[in-house]
Amino acid sequence: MNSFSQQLSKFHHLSFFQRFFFFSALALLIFSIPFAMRFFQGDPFFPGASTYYHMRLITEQHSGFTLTDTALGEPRPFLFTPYHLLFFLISSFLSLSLTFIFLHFFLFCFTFYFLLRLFRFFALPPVHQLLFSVVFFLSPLTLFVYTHIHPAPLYLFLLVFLVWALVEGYSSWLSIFCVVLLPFFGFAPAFIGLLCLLTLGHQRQKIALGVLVIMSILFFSFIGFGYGVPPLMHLTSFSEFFADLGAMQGYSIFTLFLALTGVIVTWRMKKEYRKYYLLAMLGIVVPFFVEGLLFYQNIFISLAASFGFLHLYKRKWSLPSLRFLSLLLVTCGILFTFVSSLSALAASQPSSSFLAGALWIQEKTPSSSLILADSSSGFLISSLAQRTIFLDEQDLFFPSYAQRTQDLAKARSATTLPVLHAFFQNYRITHILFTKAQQEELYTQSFFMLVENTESFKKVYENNLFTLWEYQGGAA
Amino acid sequence: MFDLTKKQAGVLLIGLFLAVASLRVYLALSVPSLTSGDAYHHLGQIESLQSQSGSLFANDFSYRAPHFFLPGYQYILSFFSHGFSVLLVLKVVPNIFIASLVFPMYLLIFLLSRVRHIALTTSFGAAFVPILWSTLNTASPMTVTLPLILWLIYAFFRIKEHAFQVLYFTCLLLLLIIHPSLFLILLGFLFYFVLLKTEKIGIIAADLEVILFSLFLVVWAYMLLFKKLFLAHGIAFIWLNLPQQLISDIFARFSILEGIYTISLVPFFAGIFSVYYFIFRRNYPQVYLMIALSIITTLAIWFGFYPLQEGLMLLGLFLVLLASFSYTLLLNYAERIKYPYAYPLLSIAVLILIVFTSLVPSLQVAHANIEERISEEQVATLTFLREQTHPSAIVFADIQDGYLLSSLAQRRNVIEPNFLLSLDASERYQDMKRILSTLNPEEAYLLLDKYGVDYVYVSPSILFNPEAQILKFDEYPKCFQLVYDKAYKIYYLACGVSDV
Repeated sequence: MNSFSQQLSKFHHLSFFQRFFFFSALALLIFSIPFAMRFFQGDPFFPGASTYYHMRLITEQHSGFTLTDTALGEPRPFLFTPYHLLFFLISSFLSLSLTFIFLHFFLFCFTFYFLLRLFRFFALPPVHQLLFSVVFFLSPLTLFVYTHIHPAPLYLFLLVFLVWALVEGYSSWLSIFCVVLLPFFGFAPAFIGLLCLLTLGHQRQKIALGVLVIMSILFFSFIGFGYGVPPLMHLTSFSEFFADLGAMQGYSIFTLFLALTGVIVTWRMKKEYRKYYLLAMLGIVVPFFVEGLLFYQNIFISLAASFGFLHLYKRKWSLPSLRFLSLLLVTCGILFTFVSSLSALAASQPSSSFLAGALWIQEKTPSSSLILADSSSGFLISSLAQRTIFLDEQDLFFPSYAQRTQDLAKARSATTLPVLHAFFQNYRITHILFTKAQQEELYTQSFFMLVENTESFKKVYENNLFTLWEYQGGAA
Repeated sequence: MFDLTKKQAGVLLIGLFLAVASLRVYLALSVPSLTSGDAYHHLGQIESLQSQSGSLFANDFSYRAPHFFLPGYQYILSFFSHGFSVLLVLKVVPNIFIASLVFPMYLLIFLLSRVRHIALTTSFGAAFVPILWSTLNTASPMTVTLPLILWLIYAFFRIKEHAFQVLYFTCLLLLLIIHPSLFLILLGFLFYFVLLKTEKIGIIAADLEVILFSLFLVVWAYMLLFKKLFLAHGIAFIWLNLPQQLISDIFARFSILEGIYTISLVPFFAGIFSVYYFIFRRNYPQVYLMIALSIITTLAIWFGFYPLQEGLMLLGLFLVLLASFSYTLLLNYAERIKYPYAYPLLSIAVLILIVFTSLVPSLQVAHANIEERISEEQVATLTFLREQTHPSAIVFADIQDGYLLSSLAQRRNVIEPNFLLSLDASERYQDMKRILSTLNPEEAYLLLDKYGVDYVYVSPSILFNPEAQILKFDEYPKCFQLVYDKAYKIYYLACGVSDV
């Protein structure tokens, strides 16, 4: 424990920029691991199905600017944000993977730079900064944000930049720059931006506040009148918080425990740093009620966890042997969750088999084909196989989504062929794709039996990941 | 206050242990078989451990995929099985374990009350909590879990002494590999700190550190050991992936009065009085731990996080502990009143009351437990299945018979009380209920065919189930061929789906 303390004390002597470069290099190393693992497995570069939605959105812009997504056969709007615009602009000069590496690394560096500037403002000791960084980098949420094509890195940067500009009292033009962009990322980032301005804003930030309100009203009215009103407030479900319960974007239970300890031990600071503490508490509490803010909450949770860890480390223990063991257990817990998330990310779809299957679909099926598959494979098929799909996981601004889900549920419980024929013919579905996992789940259901055992469906492709059946038609 | 000497108390305590252990072992050995399917499940696991080729976690005759469970109990019993029959060990060793809870109970109450005869009387009450006698012939893991929990609590109260730190961590590690109720106990400890905080009583640093460490250890260990189950079921793992309908059915069969009776009247009401007295009238930190543990256990049972039967056993013990404080208060009161014989008279009255409200119901519960044993006729029917059917045959029976089919008949079941890693738990349970309750034999046949069933075993659980319509099988002999017709029946499913 003493040698560990000595090693930590060396960290004190590093300058601000040395620390920044150290953290950036560490982050680059950590975030490269899943890509390296996928490379050695022979899997496609980008992990995760959601990435492929954003990738398709960006690549479609190259053949002419469009906001209309036709992946489901019917038009619906793309969830276009300034992140996609930036990605598209850079990808005009670089390949998609290079753009991704370049953009995400720089967004991370900028975000982290301003976080360190904030820590310096609050005179947070370097060891504390190190602890925060380790907890933050090892968080499955951070790993998700910076390894997927997703707008979160940009709005995180904007929010951190906004807080830094407000805390250090910089010109209101900087705040205005952030708040003009925030509403384009959706309600949640705009709401957090509003909270930042309300808690930290001075008199001269009134303009920024006004700009944010006006921009939000204009943007959300446009969306509301054009495409319908999406649900704004949505409780985040309990299991979504825990990476240990299988959520790809959740926390380690030990991080949450440390964060709870951190909140308890810093409770006395609430009077001294009233408005900052209020913002931190809002940052922790609000994401429980507004979906999509976990990435932002992650910063506060990591900060609170670092306070908690430091408290447990510095506290005078009556049973000193337990101190080392307790801290070791907590560290192992956080580390194991990270490793587990890392391997889940590396093993996530699309695998090389999925890619081979998707390329087969692209080559061997007519371009007018409509494929029925599990909604979790929707983004992958529409992006990699470039075929129309029946359902995917993007249900915003698509009124037929509920109807389609209902019809699919009815078809799944069908026990006779005419019901199935009516469903397939109504939606003009030409193919049905079953993943192996689905087959294990559905093997007792008549829906699967009907597809497998009747002449109306012909198996046209099979690999170790999925089977594809062609619909041959029949009387409804 | 009158009290026994250390030697007298020691002799009486050992006598109590020997009497309880002998009685339990005698009753368990009075019948040749075990009482529940669970017991035979343990038997199969221990036999599997003893055979070199066997795997503890795989069960070829279960409908589910195999999964990891805490194997400590099986290893302990397997250790005792060297040179003895496993059946004998399952009848003797668990009963000695549970009888041994009088020792930690005595020490714990003596530590808190400093009166030996109160500690002894309460230990007597603990030994005769009626619900504990339902484990008489079932080889339940609770038989070793309950004494260990009491030792853990005792060691916790003396955690500053080195010897008790060793005892605490030994119990912690044993419980960690034996039974998940350890997690519940640790939550109870955390709630104890909350209670202390609300009562503005200082928390002893060593206590907090020990519990924090224990919690970290348990969470970390369970996260590692049960990772597959957490990922498969998410938060539903806490409910063991039990179908909601099954949880409702269990609670529908349970009545509060029955619960009070199985915990025993005196500990229940005296325990409740202690909760009231020490929360509203007097501060006594150690009692808050018992209160916290009782509240957490009650909540865990209430919300279905903890099995009802096992939860009532834990609750019963905590209420006995709490009742000892009421007993102490009563005797303190007797000392203060002017009537000279009040103290001995009250002591005798309490003892008589405990005998009537604990001993007598305990013997009743023990008798019922013996009566519910697997009968010779059942064994014969299951032996028929093992010897006369194809090894790959799938047999349908009630959920309670799932383990009996996989262990005694050695045939694949359709349903059993364990639903972990089952993808279709609710559907399966509902189908089972429908197969039994429908009057239409064709519907039952189609549902049975859905699970590839070859035989239907009409067990006592089905015969005594008022919702089960068993006449339908005889009404449709074309497809339900009666192949075994003694005390219990077995039908063979002889048709294809197209013939139905």
